[in-house]
Amino acid sequence: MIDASDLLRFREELPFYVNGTSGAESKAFMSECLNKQPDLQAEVEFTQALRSSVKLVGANRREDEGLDRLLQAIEAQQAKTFTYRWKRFLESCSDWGLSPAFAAMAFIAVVQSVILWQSHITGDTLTNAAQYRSMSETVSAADMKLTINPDIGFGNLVVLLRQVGAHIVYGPSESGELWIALDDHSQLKTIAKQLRETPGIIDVIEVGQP
Amino acid sequence: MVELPIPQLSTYLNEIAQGNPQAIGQIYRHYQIPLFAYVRHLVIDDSIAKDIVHETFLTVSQKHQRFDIDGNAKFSTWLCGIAKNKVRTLQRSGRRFIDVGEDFLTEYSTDHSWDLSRNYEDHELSEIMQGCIDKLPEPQREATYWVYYKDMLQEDVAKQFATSLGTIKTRLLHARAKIRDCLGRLDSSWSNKR
Repeated sequence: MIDASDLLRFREELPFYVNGTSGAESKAFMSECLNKQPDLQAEVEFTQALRSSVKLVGANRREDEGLDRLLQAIEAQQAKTFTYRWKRFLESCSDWGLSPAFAAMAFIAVVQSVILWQSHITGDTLTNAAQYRSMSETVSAADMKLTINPDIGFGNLVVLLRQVGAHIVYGPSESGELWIALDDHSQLKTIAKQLRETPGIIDVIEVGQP
Repeated sequence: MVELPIPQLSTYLNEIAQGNPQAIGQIYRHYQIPLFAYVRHLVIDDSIAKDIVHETFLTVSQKHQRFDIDGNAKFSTWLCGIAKNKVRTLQRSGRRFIDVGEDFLTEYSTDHSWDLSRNYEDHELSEIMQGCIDKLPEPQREATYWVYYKDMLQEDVAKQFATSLGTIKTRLLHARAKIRDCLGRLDSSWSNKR
């Protein structure tokens, strides 16, 4: 029989004796204990059974079990990154037989287009106003052509046109002609007569489309 | 578990950096089962263990550059470190975590024989022993993994836990005695039924 302190040492070193990592001195000690007290062999076998049980944890799993789920998760994450999108873009270009240089140029063109588009849709008030002023407008049909005396002031002309309910639809031409449309076409004859009698208006001719 | 050779591992990690999903697949195939076994010793629930393994490899795919290929640490140990952190996060969140009380089997009988294992078929014994291991406190379960699954040297186990050799030996001593007690109780119960 071995004494209590040796028994404690035997039991403390047993896990490493069983897993095969004990040093030479420890192995000799364990063998000596087993020779002196053979019933300790039951503890060795119990510990070997424990080790075998632990090694079976997860043994029924396939080596690629859960791999599909992992790859899908990685794919989903990569799809969010710029690098991945750039790589996919290059791969797409390659699939279409385009060179990387062409792909890069195409990419730069796309980026520039986006920048220009962004500036277009997010312009400040002045830019928007300028864009509005430069917009083309459908020319409505003119009712009459006026020949204007060059001496009449622009302000007087504006007041006159507003008084008769008219607006400029074309002109002025090089010879000082303006084509105007009336808000109320039924008053064409009356307004034409009124304008002929107005100083500063040299001539009034009733017309169709300018 | 055999580690992947460093040049091969280095190649895989470089390929992961270049976005090659096949490389992470190779690493996964090599390490996922032992990693599952490790996590299973920490969380005693298969579905949680699977989720932790999944999250761990997802982290590897994102932060592979943090592993020092020229350092002393083994890749499997690095993986286990990531997994353990995830278990700790899960424990702190208090969600989906099952653990036995620390007081279970803290008082155990020494009356049972050591040859209890002879009463069972091998596959029965493995299942019963695993059930008994699940009832151990976590530090004893984890020590059981490093010593019996990974066949680690006692000095390395102590280093892994950042504790003394004596503490590790005591944990293993208590773990083995509690498992024997657990088996003994089941055996007594079974004998009484007969």
